[in-house]
Amino acid sequence: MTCERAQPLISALIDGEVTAAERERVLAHLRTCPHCATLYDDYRRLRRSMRDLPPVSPPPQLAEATWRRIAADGRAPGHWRGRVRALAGGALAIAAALLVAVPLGGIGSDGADRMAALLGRPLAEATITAPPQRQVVEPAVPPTASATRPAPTATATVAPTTRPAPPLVALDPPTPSPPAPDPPTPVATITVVDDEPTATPRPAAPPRAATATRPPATATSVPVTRTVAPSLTATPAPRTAAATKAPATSTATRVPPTAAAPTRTPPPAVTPTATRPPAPVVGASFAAALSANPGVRTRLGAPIQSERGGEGQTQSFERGQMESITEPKQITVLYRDGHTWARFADTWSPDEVVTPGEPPPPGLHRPRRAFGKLWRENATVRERLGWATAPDQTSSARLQRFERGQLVKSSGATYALFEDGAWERLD
Amino acid sequence: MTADEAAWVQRAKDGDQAAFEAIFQRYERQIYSFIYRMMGDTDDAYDLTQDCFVKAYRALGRTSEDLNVSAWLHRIASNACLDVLRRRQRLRWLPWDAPKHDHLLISTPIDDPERSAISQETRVTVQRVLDRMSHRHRLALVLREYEGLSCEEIGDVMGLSRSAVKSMLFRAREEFRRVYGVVESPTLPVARGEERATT
Repeated sequence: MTCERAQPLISALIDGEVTAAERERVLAHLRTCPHCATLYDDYRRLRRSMRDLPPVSPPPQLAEATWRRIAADGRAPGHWRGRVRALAGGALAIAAALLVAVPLGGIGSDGADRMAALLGRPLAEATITAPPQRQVVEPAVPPTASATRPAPTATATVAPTTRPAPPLVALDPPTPSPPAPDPPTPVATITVVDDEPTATPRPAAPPRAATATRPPATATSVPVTRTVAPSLTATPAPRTAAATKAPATSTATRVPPTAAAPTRTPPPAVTPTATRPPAPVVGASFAAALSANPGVRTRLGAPIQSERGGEGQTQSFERGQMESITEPKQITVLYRDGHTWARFADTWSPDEVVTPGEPPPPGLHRPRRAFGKLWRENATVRERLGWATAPDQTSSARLQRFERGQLVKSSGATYALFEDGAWERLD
Repeated sequence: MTADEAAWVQRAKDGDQAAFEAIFQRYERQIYSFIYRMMGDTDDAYDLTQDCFVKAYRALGRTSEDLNVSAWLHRIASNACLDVLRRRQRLRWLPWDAPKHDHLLISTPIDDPERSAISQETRVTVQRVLDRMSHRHRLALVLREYEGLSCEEIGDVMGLSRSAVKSMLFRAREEFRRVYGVVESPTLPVARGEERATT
């Protein structure tokens, strides 16, 4: 087999689209042709590098914008009404051309009316089952528990990643295919590992929440001993050195959180004073707000944890708001009636579809994603908060725990959440 | 198609907007990411994702009983992308604006600077190469390597036979290698991928 004939089959081999006979012929060629073996490696690197590209999150207002356009379009989904409207429009044009008086009122309005009716009527529940929401923190914790409160789960933030090592994109510059026929004697030992050994189509794709949902990029490669082709070995030297170093410094040396947890309780008797960790201080994000509210500071007590932060979401409702923070994955609900708060576990995952229900009244919004799941599944939350008054927004969030409560900063607003279940906005 | 999806499609055909919203929620992120990889621009992804779902909503009533929702949405999104790319190609070629977009490609936690730097560099390079490839080769490669569609599904999306898809994927991979060599070698004056894009 010549290289010219082998190369399309190498591409097909990567896709699992070769017959058994073709596979044998290609493998035989790869064992004897270093140029095509490099090509095979390049194709596999290309696959790994593209599968390592992260999914890009759509902005939260995309859904609202899409629904506004669908509603403005005023047509039912591919319905005969749409086609009737088109026909009516054509007839209208003909009639106008013939200067025939046509009563214009009513034509083209039925679709919009129908959409308005759709938006106004309750919709049936879809059939998605989801685990019940679990409330993890009740705000009414006895104040005396401050010293024994479970420590914030700092170890949860260092969960070891399961992402594969970054791909080596060290594709060689193109080189012309050697026209010579196969050498008669093998120059390399080659083991082919198909990324996808079968040609079975992927099932209907669920939404990709993260790269972890993709087929993992295998770290195997063709162990080929190259004896020639200097142009193929010259390019990737520095990148290869850097890239192959990465796994050793990332996943391999990371200590699992479960193993780290027990070591965090030092023996009390032998700790010299010089090695005691400094007591947490009020974080910079909260210092000004606490200084301006000395009563709140007294009520909260001393900080028991350093300030920390992460990405958060916030959404305003008719009678309160929801705040979330990625670490720990929790949703805080602030009710304006009675000024109480509650905290819930965020059990939503990006590949989970939250079944929409009743459409919101005009000008209001139905919460989506994590907020939507909690709102849909917890009737108390839903009834106390009401509808959302704006789409959810991403923001940076800061959090610090104190002896008798905590401070949360999100979207520029600072909230004190007291242990007795009350909350107060500080700025 | 899952049982859930089949039920949603049927209900959406009957005019149930909530059922179509369930379809939207399931595929919104995937279609947005796919369009972003095709266009290399978040504004385009925002607009074209809307176009895709509005067109899907209008066309839903004319779909068959055994609709493959994923392939169907990818087909609509692919056509929307190719339409825009063709239109722009007739006007002018928009080069990759690295400072504007590079930050969008970073989503790795900064827990390992070395690894993050390598990943970021890799991702930026790959997206640059994609942006310089011919449109249909780019589409075939994104569908296969990023979306993970099978050759048969790509054939459904692109209107090609399975053997034509295999051939196109080979040519696309070769173009990727060629453009990659250009992107990684800034001293070379003109990229063949750029020549193709400007014609």
